[in-house]
Amino acid sequence: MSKQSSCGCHAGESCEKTGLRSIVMVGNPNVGKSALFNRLTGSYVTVSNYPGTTVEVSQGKCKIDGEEFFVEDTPGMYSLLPITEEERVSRDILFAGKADVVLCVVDAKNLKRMLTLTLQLVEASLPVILVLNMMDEANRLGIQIDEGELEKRLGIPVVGISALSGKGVDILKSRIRSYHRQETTAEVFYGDAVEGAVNALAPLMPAEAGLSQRALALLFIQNDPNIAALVRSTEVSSPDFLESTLAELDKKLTEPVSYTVPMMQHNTAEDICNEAFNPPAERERSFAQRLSDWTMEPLTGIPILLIVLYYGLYKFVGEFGAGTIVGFLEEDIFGKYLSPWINDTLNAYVPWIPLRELIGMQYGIVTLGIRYAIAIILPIVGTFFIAFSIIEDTGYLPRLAMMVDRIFKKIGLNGRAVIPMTLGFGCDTMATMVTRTLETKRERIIATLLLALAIPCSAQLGVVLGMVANNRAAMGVWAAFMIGIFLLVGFLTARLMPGDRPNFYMEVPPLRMPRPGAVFIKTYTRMQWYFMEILPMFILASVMIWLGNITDTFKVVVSWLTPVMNWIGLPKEAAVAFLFGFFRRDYGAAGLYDLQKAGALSGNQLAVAVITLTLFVPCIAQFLMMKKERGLKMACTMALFIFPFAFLVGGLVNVLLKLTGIQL
Amino acid sequence: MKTNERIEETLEKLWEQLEENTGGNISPEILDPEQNAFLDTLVEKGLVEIFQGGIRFTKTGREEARLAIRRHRLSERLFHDIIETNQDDMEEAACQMEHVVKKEIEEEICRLLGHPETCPHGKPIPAGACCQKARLSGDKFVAPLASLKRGEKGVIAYIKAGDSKKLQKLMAMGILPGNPITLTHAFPSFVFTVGYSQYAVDRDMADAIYVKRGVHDHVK
Repeated sequence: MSKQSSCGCHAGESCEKTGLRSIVMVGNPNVGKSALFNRLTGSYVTVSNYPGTTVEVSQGKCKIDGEEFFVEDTPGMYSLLPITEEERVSRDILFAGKADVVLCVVDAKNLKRMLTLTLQLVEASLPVILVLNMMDEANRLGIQIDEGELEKRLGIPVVGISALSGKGVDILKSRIRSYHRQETTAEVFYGDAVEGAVNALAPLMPAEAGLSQRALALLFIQNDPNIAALVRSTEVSSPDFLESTLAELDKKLTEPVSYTVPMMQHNTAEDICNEAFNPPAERERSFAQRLSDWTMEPLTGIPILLIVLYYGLYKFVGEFGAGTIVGFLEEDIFGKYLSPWINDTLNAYVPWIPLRELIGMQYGIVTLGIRYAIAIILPIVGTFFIAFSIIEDTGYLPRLAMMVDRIFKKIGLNGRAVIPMTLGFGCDTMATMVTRTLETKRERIIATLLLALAIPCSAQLGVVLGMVANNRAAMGVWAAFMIGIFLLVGFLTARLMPGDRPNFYMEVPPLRMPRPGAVFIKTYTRMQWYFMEILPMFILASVMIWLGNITDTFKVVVSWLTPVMNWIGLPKEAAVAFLFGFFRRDYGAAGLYDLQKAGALSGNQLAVAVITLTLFVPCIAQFLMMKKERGLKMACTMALFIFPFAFLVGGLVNVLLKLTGIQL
Repeated sequence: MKTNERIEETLEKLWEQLEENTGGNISPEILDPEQNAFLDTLVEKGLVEIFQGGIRFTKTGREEARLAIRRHRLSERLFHDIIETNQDDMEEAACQMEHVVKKEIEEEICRLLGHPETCPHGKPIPAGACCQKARLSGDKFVAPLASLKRGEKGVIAYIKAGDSKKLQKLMAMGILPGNPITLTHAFPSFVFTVGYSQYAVDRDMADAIYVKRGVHDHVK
């Protein structure tokens, strides 16, 4: 998710400049790193109950007893041997070796599993403090953890905390403040074959890196491509020696090295846990667990999904956000008071007509740009982000991912893509940014295209639903076409683009009650991001339209679009809405909304208009994000496909309705 | 090729024809000339007999053929499931291995594979004594996670080594041999619990995780 970093610089830069001691937080996904980061720094960072949402590295400052520390939160990692881009980012930060203290955050109840990462970090000679987060949850489950035993076995400080309630955080802070390197720390014994190879290779590893030579040698024998490239590029090592050592090791082992090494780490972790981790005798099934089962059972899961969609999207966003609030702001505040007042003032005091029109009147900055942004878009997007944040915080999304994985596989994606896809219903630009959490380039391209083409953003959706609310048949045609095109285009793109079948695997966190604080922060950061991004666009669009109007270029473009409008069976005024749509998708939708309210559209025209508009261009902001994430060439190719495709489908719907004689 | 190996190969060929295709007795023409020339030896050893112008198994011959085909198909399974060699290598390796497998090792392999019922091509593997025993006692089967029943518990036996990326992903999430595992959902995706964590994976991933079944009590 988009994260606010309290300073915008890259890893390591800031501490060099400021000379502060630095804290780096690492750990598996979804162990509460972000929550702890907030506790330590007090800054607003999206805290989410969804594995893999930390895309960017967040940075902040933390004050302990008067000393300021520089804090960095890294994307979730399972192992020092990275698989995903995010894990690589985290590893690189550790590799850079700038950390004075590394907080290895684990989920206390899953200590056994997560201790392997801790062992890897300790073996890498990093200055580790083990943070047992969610201790309260573990205790509730009846788990007892012997922190003293852990400290003894690992040779590092161990602190149990609850980042959500804040319990234990003060103790953690004082342990950070007083941290000094221990003399003897835990080491895993990997058996003679591996130890022999590691001892032979360690001296050839870069000595000045943040990770110990032993750790680098271990990564090297596990065939880590980055380390291998690094070692092979240095002159110390003769390639023959490296290859022969690896080959010899391979011969000695009965299993692959990439199996043996994690296995031994796991065994060591298990051995430590046998002493320090006492599980409860019996586990009882709570209501949350039963509810969790129901969400993943198609028979009950689909009704639950429909309920979530109905109340979350339709009732809350559609009726309350797009209906009640928009009605109040748009018709009452702007319609009755603000716009007339602005126009009257302008008429009274501003003699120059173009300036009047720049600020007020039909297309002015205030009467069009700010009115659209605040009175129409803000309530819809705001209510959507509230609903999305609540759903996200409960941990429902991974369950949804599990439900749709099979369908998503057909369109070249996997269940994980539900996050960008559902977020797209809020803001496609934000969703396009989030596609980077997908594993392969192919998935990222397909997801980007589908977001640009077939996923209407909440503002657009709100307006579209508002338009078709009184015409159920048109709504049906629109919905059927959108779902059909989403699946068809996804299916075809997946066929056209060769690539491996993506694998679906993800941790399913426990369902929990949404926490108001976290929901607020998530909604707030998203709203802030959104507003900073859209308001300037709206104002820019107003200015462009104003410019277009007074120079008449606007009329020319509209006249070019008129034949297209004719062909798809829309009144020529709709051209204006489509033109606006290029500046912002929702802007265009709002324009059509005005048209429809004026009664200028028949049922068929309504269906054609909303279908074409939903498919039509990604807004400028989304296009810029596509360019940033996928490159100029890919972004242009997609736009060039989408433009004609939208009108083609619109025309097709028009012809189809005509031929069948259906009047919606 | 040694005589014994030839005998086994020919018996296997005959098994496919006599037991799985036509049944009864057949004319010797389906055998290639080399094997055909070998028929006399088989008859001499009392493994097949000429019957109404065709050939058919004797009782001993039928049993020998059954075991040979079992060893062949078990070997195929072994190379296919665990070592994950490609199709051609699998055939070649299986053809060599089947002739050197002792009875105890054959049972050991069968147990490791979870007493499979078909070869990778989908043809039946004749059951051995170990399979019947295992079936009766509901004994420790090893099977891919995807084939477990909902709610069934077991212990992770191994993870298929074919795709090391997949192996790495699973191991990094803590899905390691020796850990108890419970399958909680099998549709539309597979959901299982290891330790205190729950995971969702697709069929591909679920097929790579092999579970020792029946170690824990079944939960109905």
